Amino acid sequence: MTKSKLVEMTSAVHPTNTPPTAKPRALLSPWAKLLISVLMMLHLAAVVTPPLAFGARFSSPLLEPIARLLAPYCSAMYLNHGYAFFAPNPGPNHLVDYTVEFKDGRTPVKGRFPNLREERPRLLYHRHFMLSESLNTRFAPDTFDTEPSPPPLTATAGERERFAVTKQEYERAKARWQHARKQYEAMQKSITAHLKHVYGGDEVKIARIEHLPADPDAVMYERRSLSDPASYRELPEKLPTGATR
Amino acid sequence: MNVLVKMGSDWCRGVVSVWDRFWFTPTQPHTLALIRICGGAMLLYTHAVWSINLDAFLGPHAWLDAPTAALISQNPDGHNYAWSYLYWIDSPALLWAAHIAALVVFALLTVGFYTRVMAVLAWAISVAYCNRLAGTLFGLDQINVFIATYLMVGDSGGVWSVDRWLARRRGHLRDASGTQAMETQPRIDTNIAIRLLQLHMCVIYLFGGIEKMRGDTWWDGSALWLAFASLEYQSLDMTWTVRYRWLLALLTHITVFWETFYCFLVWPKLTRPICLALAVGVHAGIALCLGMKTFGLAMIIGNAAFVYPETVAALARWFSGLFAASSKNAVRPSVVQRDSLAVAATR
Repeated sequence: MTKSKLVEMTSAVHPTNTPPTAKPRALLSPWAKLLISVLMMLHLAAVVTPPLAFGARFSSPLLEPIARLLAPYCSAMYLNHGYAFFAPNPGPNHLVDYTVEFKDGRTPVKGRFPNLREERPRLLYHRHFMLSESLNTRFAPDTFDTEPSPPPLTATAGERERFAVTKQEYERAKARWQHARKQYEAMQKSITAHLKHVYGGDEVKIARIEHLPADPDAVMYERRSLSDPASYRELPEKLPTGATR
Repeated sequence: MNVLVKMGSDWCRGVVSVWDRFWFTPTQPHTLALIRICGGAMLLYTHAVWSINLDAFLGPHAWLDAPTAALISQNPDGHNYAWSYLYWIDSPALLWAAHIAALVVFALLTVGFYTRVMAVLAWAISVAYCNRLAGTLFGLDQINVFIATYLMVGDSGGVWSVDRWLARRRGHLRDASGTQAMETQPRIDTNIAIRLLQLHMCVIYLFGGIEKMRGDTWWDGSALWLAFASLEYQSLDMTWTVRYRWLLALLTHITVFWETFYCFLVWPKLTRPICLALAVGVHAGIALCLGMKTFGLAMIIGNAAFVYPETVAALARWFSGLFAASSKNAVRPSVVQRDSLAVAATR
């Protein structure tokens, strides 16, 4: 690179040093600037609110109403993201195993997605990977916590008031669970229907598989492979009795 | 009391002046044009990949059919604001027609033909695809839409575009004397688009960093190992790093520190090049090692918003100079060839 080019590029880093190349178009009136500023502030509020609400795990009494107010705009503009890439920890990955069965006695088809050998280019593989991850993320068990017991007849007014609040919170949590369960079941049903359509099968079973991350010591000292069969486990559809969500 | 009032009003005037300079200073179009070309190409590629298996993702028997995709986007209160025209397309022929039209729009945005119209269409199409394809998306799609959103705001076709070329051909870029072609126009809307891109990048990194800070592995230095040891992500075997755990810890800490403090370090001229160099390093690492070339590239394109248009223009001139020099050398016979031709002619 010649010296003059270098000087040109370094002076470009500080644009104030460069002479203007053309006259700017007509500048905005103060009222136009005010209007644009207000619109930009509203937009930036919609940019910041979803990750804030996500960070607060949708529990902040301040952020929740704001997030609800901005929800139509955030959804319509596709701004409702938490931006939690590989966070809070790079966790285990999730896959889906499937078996397609045929009533006419054909050998069942067994498969797994994502599958790097079948899904090319890499971006298409990643779409299948995100599908299996989404199914797992949306998993909601088929039962919900039992309802809180009402206070005894001898309870004070304060205790009864507290119970009313607890009951309200329980109802809200139950509504969220019902919604999540509905979404999960719809995903299961749609994936199953897709596999039936592709293979022309009669029955399809799918299972969520968790691939645990490799322990660094096992990789270092035992030369354990990242695809070690022991690192895969099937996730249960029903939680053990007594387990909480 | 009067002193306090004066101090307050001086402060307010200062804020208004800084605000005005930050948002409403006209800016040259080169940075936004670069983002349009790269971001448009990324939109085109991302959507072209759906073509490989269009029916399996968008058809009536898709992995996630339209009602399921709509349900996934629905809020617990039953509202769904995630709109998409693709919810209503069942016919394969119509789906292909709509898909090809979408690819044409992305291609036209990339080359800058009817740029502003294409930017609006590209944004609408990319949001419609994202909402219909809920459940198969990741960071790439968020960044694609984010770039498309701000390309609508500013004039990204002010340079290096078919629009510009056509205007020059039609003589619309002559100055008052009618002879000389005018230079590019600095514009306020270009500046607003760039500022919004910059602030949105800061929000993405800030919350990415804050969320990582909640995880133990980003503190104990093992997070990068977990990423490298993730078979489903892996595109380059980095498990040899297990022997250098200090290196893994160093890279982990640098990543989380850089991501969290990006929103502060990217503004001063002193730290901006370091911050952007780290961004390129981190995202190139994600692209090469974790199988997400598209996401890594999209984030680098987003970071380009922090490069001054004058720098982009100077770099473009330098590259075109290099290209011109190499093509001249390819066309002209070398000195040795000329000498040998001369000798042959005198024989």
